[in-house]
Amino acid sequence: MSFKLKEFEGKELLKEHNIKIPNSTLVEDLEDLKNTSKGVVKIQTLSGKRAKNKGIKICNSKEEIKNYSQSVLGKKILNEKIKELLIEEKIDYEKEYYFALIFNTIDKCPQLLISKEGGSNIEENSHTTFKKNINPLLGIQDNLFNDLEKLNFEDIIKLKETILNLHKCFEKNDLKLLEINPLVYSNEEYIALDCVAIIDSEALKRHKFNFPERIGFRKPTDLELKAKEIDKDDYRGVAGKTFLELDGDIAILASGGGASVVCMDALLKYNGKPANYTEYSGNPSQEKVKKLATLTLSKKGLNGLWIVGGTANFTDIKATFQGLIDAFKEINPQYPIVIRRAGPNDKEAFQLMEEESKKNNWNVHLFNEETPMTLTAETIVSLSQEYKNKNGNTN
Amino acid sequence: MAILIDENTKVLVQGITGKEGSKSTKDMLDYGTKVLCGVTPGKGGQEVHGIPVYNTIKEALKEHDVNTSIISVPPLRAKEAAFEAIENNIPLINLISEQIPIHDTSKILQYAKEKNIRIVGPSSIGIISPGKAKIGYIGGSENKSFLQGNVGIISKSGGMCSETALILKQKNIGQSTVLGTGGDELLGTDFVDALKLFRDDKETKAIVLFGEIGGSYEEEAAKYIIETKYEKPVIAFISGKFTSQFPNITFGHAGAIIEGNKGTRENKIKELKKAGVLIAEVHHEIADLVKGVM
Repeated sequence: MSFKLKEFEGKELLKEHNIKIPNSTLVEDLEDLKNTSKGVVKIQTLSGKRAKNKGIKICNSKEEIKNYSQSVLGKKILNEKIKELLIEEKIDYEKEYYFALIFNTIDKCPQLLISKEGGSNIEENSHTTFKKNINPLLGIQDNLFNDLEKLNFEDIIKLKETILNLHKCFEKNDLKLLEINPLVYSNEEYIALDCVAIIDSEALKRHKFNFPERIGFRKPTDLELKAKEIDKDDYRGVAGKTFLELDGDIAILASGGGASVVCMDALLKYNGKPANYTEYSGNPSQEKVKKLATLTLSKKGLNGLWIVGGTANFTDIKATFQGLIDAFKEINPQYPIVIRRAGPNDKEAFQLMEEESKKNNWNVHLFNEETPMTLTAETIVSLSQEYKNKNGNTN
Repeated sequence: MAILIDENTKVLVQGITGKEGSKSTKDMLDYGTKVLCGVTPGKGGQEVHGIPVYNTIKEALKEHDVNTSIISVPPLRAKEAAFEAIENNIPLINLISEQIPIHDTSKILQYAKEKNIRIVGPSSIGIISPGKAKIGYIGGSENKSFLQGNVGIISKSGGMCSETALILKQKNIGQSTVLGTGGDELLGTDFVDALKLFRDDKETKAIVLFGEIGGSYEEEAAKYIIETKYEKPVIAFISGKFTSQFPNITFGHAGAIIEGNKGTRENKIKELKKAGVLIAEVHHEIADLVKGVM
């Protein structure tokens, strides 16, 4: 997981580590424009490609800044609502470089990248990039600079200082990526004109960052927000932490991070259309499972429910089934329900589910570990199709 | 034979007094694994399921001859724990802890490399050589998914280690060793490392890879199979058709991130097919593909 920063947030980290950045003003509403007369106005987004989407404009007058700012602030660009603009002094430079610190997954260590072909087409020029692994126990060593010296930089001493500071910034802030494109040489200084920084979210606990929480690929729906609450309210196991509302008609209650994804793949393969994705695991309480199931089944236009998971190691299957039964009693689902699960207390759990299904006329189909998980994808898809044809629940 | 663990595996558990450490110690003992001692700083002198606990590895090694350490400690303590095991030259370390910061992982792996120590993990579910020994959480208390035999399984997903073994068992195909590599971006033992080990294992006749989107370990495996003219049949399943529709959401595993065209399911499958690897489109198809080559 990762925590990507906007340019102005990343530059705060650069500044703390003595890396030169242009003078700037952060604009959150038009009032903030008072003290600006000219400069480079840049929309602040999490996605790149701003230049290609008219998100960066060089303005030479107060008027120009105002007009441009008005046209972008609060608007939706690159799928994001623009909340901030960064207005920077324009830096004139002769040469631009691409700089990055990343993790090399083959050699399993940090890696430094520098290219003399900086700018917005770096991806196409990746063959000219200077790459050097960094020993994570030792940090940047002198031999790296010996190699760099051969590339004829303007001022190797200044460059060295900048690189050491950038590395410190990368390491001290637990960054997974630090990308400066371009890094320019101007007035005898190396200056970071842009900044992409991604913080390792696993390390957030050991820092005191004040950056607001990142939002995913779209604004969460009501159902998604409610699902998150279920997980927050109860520390036992995980249920609803990840909940995605989708367009299909088969409700999903899956278990296990890896397994749930394998099952979703299988459902798509058999042309099933999921109404949601969610996952519960780690021995969640009966109450928590009930809440998640009730929420999942509250969606309109369902033609089936697939409850699927592997063989649990720790999760009490009976407790989770009791939670499911509680939810079924509230909703009284008429569509087919396919359950594939195994683990501690599964025999009792299956017996209980069978009894309750008979009593309440629920259309439940039970499978244990003898039937492959992904094979039951085919079962739910064909049963829900049948139900849909008969009952006309088209959506 | 088998790889990495067998009847001669002698285990030390770091974090033995924790909930998971204690539970898995019992499960390992029940399976017949030789768990000799445990370490939790400040808890020396206690016992967990009859196994003595020490404050430090150094103290434990004075009394016990171990060759494997399992690390089940909170994520921000993992680096310290792993460094202690490496300093004490324990040749195999199974890093079970999840959510270790990537900077810490890279330091652990670098130190291990310098001292010639093998790390399996982080975020590994464990390793099992059915009928011989198991380490970590793999199999839980019942182990009913596993059967001794001739197929090696290498899996990024912990939960899917059991499911993959199970669908083979249902066709009466057993496993030599099942290895949970973990699903992080940096892995101590990746697909290529594991393929190397299985190549030299006489008991292993075929290998199953369970891969996921993100990173390039699957592509590296394909390259390795071509370059070394790998002789044993390899069957692979790559999950993530569903997840790739949602590039900004993490579905459990840190390594499952797509960057540009790299790390996509399509690309992994294309490269693996080039290397002659058989691809299961749906997970349970793995069983028939394996049966076909045995």
